[in-house]
Amino acid sequence: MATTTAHAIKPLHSYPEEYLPESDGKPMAETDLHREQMIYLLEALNEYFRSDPQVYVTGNIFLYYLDENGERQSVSPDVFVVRGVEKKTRRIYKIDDEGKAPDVVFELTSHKTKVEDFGTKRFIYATLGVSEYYLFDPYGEALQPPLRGYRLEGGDYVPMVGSRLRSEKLGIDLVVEDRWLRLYDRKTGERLRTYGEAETEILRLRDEVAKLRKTKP
Amino acid sequence: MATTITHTIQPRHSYPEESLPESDGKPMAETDLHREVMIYLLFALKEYFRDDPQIYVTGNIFFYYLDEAGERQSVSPDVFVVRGVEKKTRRIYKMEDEGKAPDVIFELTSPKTKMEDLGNKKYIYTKLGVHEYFLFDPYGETLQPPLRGFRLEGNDYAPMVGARLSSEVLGLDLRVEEGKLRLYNRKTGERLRSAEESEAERRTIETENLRLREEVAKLRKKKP
Repeated sequence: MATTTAHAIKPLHSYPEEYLPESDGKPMAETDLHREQMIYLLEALNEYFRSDPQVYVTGNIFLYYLDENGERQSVSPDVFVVRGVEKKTRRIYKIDDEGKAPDVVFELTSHKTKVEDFGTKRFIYATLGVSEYYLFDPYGEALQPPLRGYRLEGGDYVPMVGSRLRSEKLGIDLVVEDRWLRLYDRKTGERLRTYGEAETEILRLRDEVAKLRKTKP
Repeated sequence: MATTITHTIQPRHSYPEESLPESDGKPMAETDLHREVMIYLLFALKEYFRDDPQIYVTGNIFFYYLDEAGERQSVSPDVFVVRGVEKKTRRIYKMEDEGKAPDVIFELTSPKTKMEDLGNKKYIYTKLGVHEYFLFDPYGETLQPPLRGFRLEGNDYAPMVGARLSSEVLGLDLRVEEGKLRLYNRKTGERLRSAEESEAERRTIETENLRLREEVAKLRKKKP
């Protein structure tokens, strides 16, 4: 989804510390499917961690870090989760201020972003110490199979195997269903809902409540 | 939110018709607040039009059109609504294929996008015949007041006035509450809820449902 051209990431100009951009001033455009998939991940993860004040779920914001030479760099993951930092609305995420890199990163990939996602971004995430890295291609055109997962082991990513990928960091399973990437709570075995489903569920439950009230002997 | 630098919109290269890009291959990055407002608008509008199969609500996709010279152009509005076209998932929105321009467009503006939003985009949307155009600045830094609305009158946009702007096309009022852009159903007066509020409501009613089920089960046991 969000992409970064090789030259925009690797040598990258250093940012003046007093002004770290919040927006790249570039058009942002994806397909409906990419956007909906991203929103599902954000909503499902936010809901899953709802009662934990120390988990931050976000996406498409600038993630700032210092590279090995102490130079300011940035990257913009589609979705990421950081455990152990305050849950709050941020304008940017600066690793050196927060004291933590993301634990898990998701990229929604396409033909345009594939090289970047497997190349520069994978390298950066490994260097930053991101424990798990997932790639998903909503159209199944650029990736076969459309879902890939990597776990950091000794400084490099080892591919996960199987069609149901297991996130140790999140306690969640990742499964592709009907071309959607869906998340399952491993404790309950339940699929994390979309908010659209919540609305449908409300109607059903209201109906049932009304019936129950009537049948009360 | 989505921005376009002047030169990429106005003279702009023409696209080969066989491969209209779906993604611009550019990094896309905004703040949490920009993203949250956009997600609120998409969710609220989709729910509001849930039962109407002829309304398309989308955002951040490439919208293609032909300019006055017949050249292929594109623009990417943050959120837009088209009435009278099929509700379905699209990869791009091509105006001549669909036969309709958006009826309403929302742009979430920032210092980086302000010039574009009030300049080129406003001009392009006028030309395309977009009836209503709303701009909102989630941080209230670049726009004072943070919410602006324009309605097409003749062939130019007339600014809307008042603290409560209304969309005649959507049947909705727009208000800024505690810095957040919120939509109100003009018929019912109700605020369109956010995804989080909808989920909270679901949990409440689920609890009520479980309580009633237990109650009914107990009463049934006692009765015979």
